[in-house]
Amino acid sequence: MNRSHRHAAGSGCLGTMEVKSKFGAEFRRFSLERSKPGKFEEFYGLLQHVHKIPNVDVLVGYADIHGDLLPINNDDNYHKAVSTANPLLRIFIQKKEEADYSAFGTDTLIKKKNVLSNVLRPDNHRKKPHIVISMPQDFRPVSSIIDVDILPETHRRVRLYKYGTEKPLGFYIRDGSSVRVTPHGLEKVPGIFISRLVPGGLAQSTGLLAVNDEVLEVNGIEVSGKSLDQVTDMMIANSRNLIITVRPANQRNNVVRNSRTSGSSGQSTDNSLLGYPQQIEPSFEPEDEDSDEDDIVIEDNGVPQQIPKAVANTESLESLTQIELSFESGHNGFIPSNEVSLASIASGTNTEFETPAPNQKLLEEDGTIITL
Amino acid sequence: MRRFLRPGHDPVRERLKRDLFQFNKTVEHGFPHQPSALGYSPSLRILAIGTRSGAIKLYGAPGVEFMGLHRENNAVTQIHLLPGQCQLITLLDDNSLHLWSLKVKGGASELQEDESFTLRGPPGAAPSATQITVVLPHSSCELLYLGTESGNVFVVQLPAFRLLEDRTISSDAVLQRLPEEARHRRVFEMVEALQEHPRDPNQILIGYSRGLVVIWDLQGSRVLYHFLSSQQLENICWQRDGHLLVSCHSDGSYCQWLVSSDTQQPEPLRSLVPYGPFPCKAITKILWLTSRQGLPFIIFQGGMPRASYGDRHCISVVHDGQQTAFDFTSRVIDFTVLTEADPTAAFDDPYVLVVLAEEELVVIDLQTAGWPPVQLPYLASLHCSAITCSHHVSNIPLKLWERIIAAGSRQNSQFSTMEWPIDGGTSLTPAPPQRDLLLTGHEDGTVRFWDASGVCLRLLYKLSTVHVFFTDTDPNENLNAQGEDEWPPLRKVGSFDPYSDDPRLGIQKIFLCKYSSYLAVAGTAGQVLVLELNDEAAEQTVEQAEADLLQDQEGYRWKGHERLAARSGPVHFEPGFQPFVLVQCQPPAVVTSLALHSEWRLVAFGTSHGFGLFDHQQRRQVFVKCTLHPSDQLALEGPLSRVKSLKKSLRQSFRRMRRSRVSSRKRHTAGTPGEVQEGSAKAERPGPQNMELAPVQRKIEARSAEDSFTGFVRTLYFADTYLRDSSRHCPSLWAGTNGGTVYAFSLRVPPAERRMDEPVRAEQAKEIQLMHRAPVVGILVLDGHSVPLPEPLEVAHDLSKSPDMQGSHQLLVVSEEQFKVFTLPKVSAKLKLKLTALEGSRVRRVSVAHFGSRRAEDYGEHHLAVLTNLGDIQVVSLPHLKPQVRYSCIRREDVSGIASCVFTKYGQGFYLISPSEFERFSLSTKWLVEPRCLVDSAETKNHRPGNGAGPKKALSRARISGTQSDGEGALATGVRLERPWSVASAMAEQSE
Repeated sequence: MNRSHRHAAGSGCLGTMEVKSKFGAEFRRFSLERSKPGKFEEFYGLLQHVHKIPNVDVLVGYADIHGDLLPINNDDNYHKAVSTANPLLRIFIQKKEEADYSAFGTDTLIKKKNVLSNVLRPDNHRKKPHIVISMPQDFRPVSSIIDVDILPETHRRVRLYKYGTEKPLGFYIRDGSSVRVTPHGLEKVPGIFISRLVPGGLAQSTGLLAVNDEVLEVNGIEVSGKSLDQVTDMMIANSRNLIITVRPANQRNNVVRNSRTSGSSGQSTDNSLLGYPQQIEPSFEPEDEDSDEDDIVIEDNGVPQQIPKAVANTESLESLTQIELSFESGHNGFIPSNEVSLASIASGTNTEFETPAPNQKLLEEDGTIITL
Repeated sequence: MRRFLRPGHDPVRERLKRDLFQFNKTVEHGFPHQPSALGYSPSLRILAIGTRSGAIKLYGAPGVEFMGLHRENNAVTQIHLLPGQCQLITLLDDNSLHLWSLKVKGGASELQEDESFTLRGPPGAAPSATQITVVLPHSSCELLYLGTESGNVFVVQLPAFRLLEDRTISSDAVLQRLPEEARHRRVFEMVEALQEHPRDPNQILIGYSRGLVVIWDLQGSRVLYHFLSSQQLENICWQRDGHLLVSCHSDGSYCQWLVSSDTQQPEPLRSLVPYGPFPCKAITKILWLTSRQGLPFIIFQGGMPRASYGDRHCISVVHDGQQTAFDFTSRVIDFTVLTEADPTAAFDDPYVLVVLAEEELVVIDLQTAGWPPVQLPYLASLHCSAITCSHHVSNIPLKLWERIIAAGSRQNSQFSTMEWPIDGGTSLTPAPPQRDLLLTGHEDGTVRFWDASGVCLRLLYKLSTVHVFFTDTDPNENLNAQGEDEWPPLRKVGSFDPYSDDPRLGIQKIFLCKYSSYLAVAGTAGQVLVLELNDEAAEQTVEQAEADLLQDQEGYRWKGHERLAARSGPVHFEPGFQPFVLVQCQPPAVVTSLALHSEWRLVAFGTSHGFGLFDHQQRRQVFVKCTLHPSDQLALEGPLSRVKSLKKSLRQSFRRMRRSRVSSRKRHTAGTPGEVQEGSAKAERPGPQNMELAPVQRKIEARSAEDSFTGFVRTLYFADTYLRDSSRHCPSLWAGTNGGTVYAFSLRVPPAERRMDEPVRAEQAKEIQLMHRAPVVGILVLDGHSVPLPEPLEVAHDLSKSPDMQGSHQLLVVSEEQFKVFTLPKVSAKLKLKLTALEGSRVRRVSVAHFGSRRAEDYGEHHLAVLTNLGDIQVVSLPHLKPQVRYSCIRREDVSGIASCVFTKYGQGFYLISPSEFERFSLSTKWLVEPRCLVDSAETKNHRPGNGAGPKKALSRARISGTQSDGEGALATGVRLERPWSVASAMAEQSE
């Protein structure tokens, strides 16, 4: 009653409505015709104008009568906001990219003060991580689990993007043996295992790899039958975009998708592994390209520049290898990250040519030198 | 749709591939590793060598070679060629006997194993009861007499190895048939010698180790004669007429015993200690050979004075007042003497002594005064000094070939003029279509030039670079110069000399230009020599220069070896390749790459610090480029592991080369080397258990610019191409480093008429950094038709088409991990093939080879022959970089084998299977060098030695008798008639 009275009083007062708009630490006060609020776009433009932020994408919110922060993003909720304002329409503006969506909602009623303080002090809400699907171009992936849908749940395929980070890959592998179930019973077969994670390395920081995980594939190629040195060379050759399929030593964190699970045994018993690398191989092709077009050429002692890819003319089209051709079609979902990464690595190498990197390792004895 | 087209799905290409590529290991060159037995057939004139790894190799006339491998990996302890047959018996150290035979198949002989047999005693008998010590093939070729450790002599029937138990000559039986006074000897002594009477096949001689020798009548089973020596018996020899025995003993003495029925002599006719009176080592084998001139040849092994010469490996020859103790640098395995082959001839008339030492075969002419050695047409000791590098040059122009041979023949004056006496069999291999040279660099600073055209790898010429430098060795030291009254009369023979005077002399890189006869060699201490072929001896001063590869790198101190001290004045050089320029890199690190451009008169060289270009016409340095990463600066002042590791790696590589690798041979039975060495008797253990013994781990880390040895120059390449713009091509030098960097310098070489007046100029034009940073192992420029640029002077000699300079050139960079093609002059990536990322193998060697088709005479393609660190050989197509074929060739553990591999320009290759043997392989269907030969048992090459060039006459006579059918037997005649046909068919197959 009381509220409606005040509402009536306010509305009866002038037919105008006072608006208090806050953007960052700045307030703007202005008034609107309550009867003719206009369209949301006009209001949005007006806010940008009064705050002098004409080209900034913003999120607009208001405090409703319950103290909840509610968004204004179309004509309907704009009109609702205007009609319920009593007497003051309190507007909160946030930059879209800094938006804290968690501030919106209905259960913020009791924590009204908190809501506002959250909005007022943007650094505060960092403590509360919240998953937001947005703006991937601002981030650089360092690792991911991929192909969950096609792998058995006892396996995990991890992609490490050495590219986007200065961190070392930071892991070691060793020979070992694992037990497989075969038609002839249990069989011990040689395998490759992760033997050590370097503290602070990429492998450790992802949390996706652990000591004693068995390495099954490297970039889609099975390691069974390959020697430790061979697998080492494959991993190093693929180090800029390393995809390793492991059977984690700890099988308790597996996602159980269906009842087909092979049980809790750490030494799992999957023979179907042999079957699917061929099927899934195409999924690696798009990425296969990225590490390679970044060779650098310096012409006439000039500035280092990235070597471009030659445009295939009719003659050389014929000459393309099968591997090469499969790359052509590849770029699908990863174009943005590739481009960004390419640019960053190119600029990174520029500096390498001009100034020596600060911390250099001492020369090590290297067994690979062939003097013969 | 194209992406689904796999290379294997194009049937036309597949058929073409079958016409172009095929993999064969064709022949092993050099000296068998770890020989353990020697055999010779006087009737076949074939030599047989057995090895500790169970291989047997047969050699006859040059080109006649056979190889067999026992299934068991056991040492061959004895080889006996059955008299007059194409069959041989081998005894292995597991006490098994094997019968091999040469059978004619498809017009050529093949060596194959027919039967094997292990002598077994009754259950419960001691193993020594049947442990075979001596094998005597009876002249009937139907029986084998087997002497054993127990003293029993068993008889087996051939070819089925049927034991004839009733014929066993037990030691008890012998004892009972001895007269009373001789019976007090212990019976359980092993049989040391078994000999058939030279004239009477019914008598055999049995010598027991304790000194008892009996002559046994096979018909009557009785002792005809017996002899008792006071010394332990080592061996015994029966004079040709059967009237005299010569026994040798463990105390270094030998005794002569007269065989005559009227005097049963308890005492020897004569007893002698040739190198007495002080204690001597045992004489382990003796031959007593009669000659037409009257005085016998006494040839024996060992017997040297124990204290002062006990460590020598000697064979002494005594004849007509002359005595020489041939002194070998390695242990003597066995020896044989080539004598009159006809068993009915009155005299032995020995003419050649053949000695199998551990590391070489030495053949000595006994007919020529002074007993000079005979030069070997095969079985050369490749490793007389350890091989440090090799270089192959195909299709040598005849002129150069003749000049090299002429230079080499002057070095061979100490050899006998006798023709090669071991000349059994007939080689059906057609004459090699071209002349190929294989050059091997050695640890002692020599380069050996081998004729690699055919089946026999023959030494043509030996070049020594030692004379350019001051070394510790006294050049006047002559091992053969012994005082007149020296005793024992030692004479060093053979070429095996494993001791290097100075490891810095070692040759690391060789580059020969076959058109200009310029040769560049580079060594361990950063020395680069440019040599020119001169047919005359010359006294000349070698121009010296220093290449400071560090340039402006301050504060760096080299802690490795010093550079070699060069002689400053004129040096006398023998006819042959004579050095005229010496460039010494500073710091004197090992030269890791070398290139010579004889048309431009430039030589480029690289080390772990940088590379340089030298103008050998004007004899001045063009430029040097330091490739050390700037950040290496700090590291260089640190503990200097670079120096240590280089030395260490060098040392390790030598060690690897020398290390005995028993299991190195190709084997048909699968199994890891470890298992093989443990013996085949043990059951194979499963792999995983073995693997758990080695808890090795490998670091997974991306390469960075700061990794060590990034500046190491791996490859250098000269090309005339479009480096700066597409309108003008110019000479250029390309260098690839261990850190994945490619440097390109454009060169300005003055025209010929002003070549001496204007300097050669160089300017860096490009620098390419491969981001995967793998070592660059090959650089190649393809012309407008995507054909590799020809070698220098190849076009000038009309041996190659001019490169296409119209279309755009392409640059191929091969790193250990990837093949990449870039366009030129604007560098843009065009094609690539990732090897390591897909297969986990890395490129170790890459070379362009021309593959001719076996069907179309003039059709051929240029491709890359690639050897990986896993020992696989692949062919990768040019210019499309499509993998064509892949064969596994070398075991992946065989690091030195992989490191030693060298490809030829026509799709063949060589690699070391042991320190002393090259395996030759072929990837080509058209170019295939393999032995194809015929051995005919009925063909008797009867040889009667005369004075002087006796064997030559004998040889020609033998050849005549070989080609004329004298109706000596149906089989033999048939084979002879077949021969012309089989030669023709062999050639037809080759050219098909």
